[in-house]
Amino acid sequence: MGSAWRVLQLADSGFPTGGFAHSGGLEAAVQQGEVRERESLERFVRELLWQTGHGALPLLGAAWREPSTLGALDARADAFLTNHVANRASRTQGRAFLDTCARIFPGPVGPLRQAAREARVRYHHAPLFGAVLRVLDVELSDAQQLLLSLTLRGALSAAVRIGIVGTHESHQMQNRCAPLLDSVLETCAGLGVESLAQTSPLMDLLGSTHDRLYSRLFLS
Amino acid sequence: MRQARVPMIASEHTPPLEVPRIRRAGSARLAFERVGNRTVVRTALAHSPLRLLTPRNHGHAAWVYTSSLGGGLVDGDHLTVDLDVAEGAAALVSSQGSTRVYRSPRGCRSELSARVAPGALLAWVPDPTMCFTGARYTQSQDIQLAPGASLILMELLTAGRSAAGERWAFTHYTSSLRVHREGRALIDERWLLDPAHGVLPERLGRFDALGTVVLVGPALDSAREALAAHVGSLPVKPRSGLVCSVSPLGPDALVLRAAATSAEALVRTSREWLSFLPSLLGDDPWVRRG
Repeated sequence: MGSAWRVLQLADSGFPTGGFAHSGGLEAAVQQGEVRERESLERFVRELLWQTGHGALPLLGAAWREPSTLGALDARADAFLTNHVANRASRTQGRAFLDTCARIFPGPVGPLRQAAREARVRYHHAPLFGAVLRVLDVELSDAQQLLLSLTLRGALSAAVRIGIVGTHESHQMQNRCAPLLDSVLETCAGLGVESLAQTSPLMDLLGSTHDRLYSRLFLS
Repeated sequence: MRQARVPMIASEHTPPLEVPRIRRAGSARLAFERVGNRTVVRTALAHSPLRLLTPRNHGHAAWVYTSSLGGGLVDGDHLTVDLDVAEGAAALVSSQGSTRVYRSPRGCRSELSARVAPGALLAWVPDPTMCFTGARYTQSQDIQLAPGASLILMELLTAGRSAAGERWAFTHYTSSLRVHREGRALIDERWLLDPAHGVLPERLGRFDALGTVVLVGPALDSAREALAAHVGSLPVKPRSGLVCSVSPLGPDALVLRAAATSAEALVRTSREWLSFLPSLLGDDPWVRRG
């Protein structure tokens, strides 16, 4: 039962992993006029969740099932994320997540962090997320749900700060996404690393222009 | 003899009259070698529906154009190209016109497996792929680079018969690209475009074409430097008809991507990016041949 409390703790927006510095490509999509209001934000979020389902959940699952393969999965993530903005965001968020968890749960996560260092990983987020949640005794399905939920919340909270929707509207949208989260989970929870895919090359392209935006609130 | 290449035009989009009832498995084997200062095609074997053309050119590289019998891939087609570029050789492989994929409930496949030896160059620069209504297309490209090998790879995907209002109307598109060097993956990605994730024309919005250009290895050092500086400094504007990005992959590889509101704009942009090709090969593969 202890792990249920941990899931709630990890899901808390106060858990200090620095995720709020990233918009998941939303800021670039907004500045390029591809996301302007609620409808286009909903479309963006749908793209982002399917992309997370196909591009992150397989790595998360493989690392959760076999944390000792973290090094290989990290290299796989690195070769998969050819967009340098997404690649950098994955490494930044992975490193922050691991460091924070190693501080807060030193017993289980400390040795994992040491092993990751020794394997000279680049700290990609999805495989680290799976490996950390495994050593924290969180069930795979809870870990998958948590990643999808954090991804959705991250994008919607970025949308609030960019000013596309208000706080209440963003949470109404989060609520409306429940069936979509279910579909993504149902389709992607069982996918292996061989099924890794980029389902949204256009959003990926828009996000990869982030460093060239005239002004930026977010790191990605 | 140089072959006439036909640019993508709307009137071409008529399905082959004789649609074969059986699955066609076309395979091609290509080997390039350096002899003196030039590259020669040592092996060019093809089984129908794949065909190979080997036009002469004034440069030092060898050129091969692929074409498929019937003007496109029909249901059940499975094409494979196996290719070697030997040490110090330079090869350009392109296609004779766009690759059109027709309605294919059983699916169509196309596979490339290439090895590029030390000091060799492969330019794999086919015309765009367009998947029509009901097409199911799976493509995989596997390239093994030896140390010091160079690669130019272009991949363009267009919406289909846009002029007839048929945009992104295929039922499935997967394209995987793997570039390995000394056993290590430099690129290992897969695009998956499927209406299961939402109606494709809506998801791709105003864009009619997506493209990727990959440049790896020492022969492309200066091209990479120039393109990284140029594309990396383009201003990002709202509702632009062309969105471009450039991502470095380590010290000697670069990925360029673009989305354009027309296939023509994408083709034009990709050729601008590859405008160093004539001087690299000693002859211009883009000029209209006839």
